[in-house]
Amino acid sequence: MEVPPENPAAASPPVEGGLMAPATALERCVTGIEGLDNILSGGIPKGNMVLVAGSVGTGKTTLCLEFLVRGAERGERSLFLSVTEASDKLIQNLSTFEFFRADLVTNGSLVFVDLPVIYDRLGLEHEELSEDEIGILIRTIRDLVRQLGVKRLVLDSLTSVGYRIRRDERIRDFMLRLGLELSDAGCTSLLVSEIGPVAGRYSLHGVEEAIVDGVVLLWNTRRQGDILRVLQIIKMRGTSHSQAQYVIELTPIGLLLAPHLKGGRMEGP
Amino acid sequence: MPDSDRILGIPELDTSLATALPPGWMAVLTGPSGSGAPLLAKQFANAGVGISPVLFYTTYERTRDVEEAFEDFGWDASAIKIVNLADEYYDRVLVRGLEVARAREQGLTLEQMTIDRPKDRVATRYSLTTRMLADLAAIDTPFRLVVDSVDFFFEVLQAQEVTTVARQIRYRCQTVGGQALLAVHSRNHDPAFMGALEDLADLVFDLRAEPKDDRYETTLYVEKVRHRPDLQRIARAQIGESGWTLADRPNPKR
Repeated sequence: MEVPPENPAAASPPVEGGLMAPATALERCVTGIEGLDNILSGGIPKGNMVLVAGSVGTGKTTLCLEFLVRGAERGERSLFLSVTEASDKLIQNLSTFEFFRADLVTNGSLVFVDLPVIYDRLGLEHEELSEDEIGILIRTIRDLVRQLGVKRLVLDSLTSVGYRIRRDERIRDFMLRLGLELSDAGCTSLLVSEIGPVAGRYSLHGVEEAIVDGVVLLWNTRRQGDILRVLQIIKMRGTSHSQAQYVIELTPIGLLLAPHLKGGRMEGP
Repeated sequence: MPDSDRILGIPELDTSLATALPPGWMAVLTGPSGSGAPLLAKQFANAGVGISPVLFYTTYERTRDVEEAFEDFGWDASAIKIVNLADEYYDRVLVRGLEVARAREQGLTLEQMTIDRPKDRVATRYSLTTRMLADLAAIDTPFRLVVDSVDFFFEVLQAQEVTTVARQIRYRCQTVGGQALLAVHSRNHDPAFMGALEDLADLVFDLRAEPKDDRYETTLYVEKVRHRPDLQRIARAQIGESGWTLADRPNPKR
């Protein structure tokens, strides 16, 4: 399904020279989610770090998993860093989707790692991570990305990590350093942000959205008794994009996007 | 002689101390290295065999060394439960410390992140205090417990936590009629802690070896008997075939 940008005039201009700016605005990481690639003018600029923000049940994890599966199918090694859910269970859930191919996991194209295992191996046991420990965590993720040649990464969720990096300046530092490392490695990343229904805020600390290159917002809305999942690109450095709202449907073959028609009574994010 | 469930294991002392160590009481034995306090701790443990379950927590000897010391005096080591806290601590904490240091220095491979996932490790993180108290909580009948020595706890816990452990042991003794002996070898601990520990104890012994002519002479000081200050004693002690004996019948201070 092709969904053209609804309001190209509202698209944010590319930001040049920013810390997270991609090497070239023309290089794209094609998400493989057709509707999303269309509204992003061909995909996420390669090396971008993108926040996927939304409340519970809005489809964040599914979107991220499809992003990885599509990448692995294209020969781009993909890594899912799971904090809140065990990988085994995630793979089990993923196998209910037709777009998922188990061989991508067995041949190592799609890799799942549980972050709590990394915490355990590295002795990161304190409720609040120190600056040194944050550095160790970043180095470990960087080394893994380099070692495996990872081109797509999902962290599910940044919020869970953020609970252990309690100070704003430290989460800012964590994201800046991680973003630079991933961008240098040519790795495009999606960081899941779990948010409540607070308008104008997309993350736990409130500083994350300022640092990332892009924000994809997902929320549920009601219309005539139905719950609709809605997606909107809030920002995306390095590309023009639609800022319109799109209804998404989680189908066995993947995410489908359609323009959000404004008829009926609706509730915002 | 007091009832068998009260005996400390040194016949002369048991006879002279009218109270001996009643169920529910906790004793503290101080004695520096070379004083023979570890043998007295084992003798106390042996005296409980056949009367109640005996737990012997060693913190610096190999389990085999404890067993051999028992055998040397004809005591049955198989009748007591020996728990080697130092070995457990090494296996669960110190080895892990080395693994963590190596992982931090050398990094992790994908295999280390995905193979042999220690899923239950967080839930079973080793705690010296929890480890011991879990054993105690599982016993709901009178028991005899020896910790040789408390010094190890000072190495790995804060002084306040050590006092809490001692308090928990005492509470458990009082609840189910247990008896405990805590050995302390070093004299360099915080005096405030030692004061608190001795306040908690119902009996306090001190064993000292001092040079006299060409040999060492050991003296046992009975420094505290709860509610019976008249039973404080000073007596020469020596090791015989059955362990410590008192060379003289202890002389009352008054």
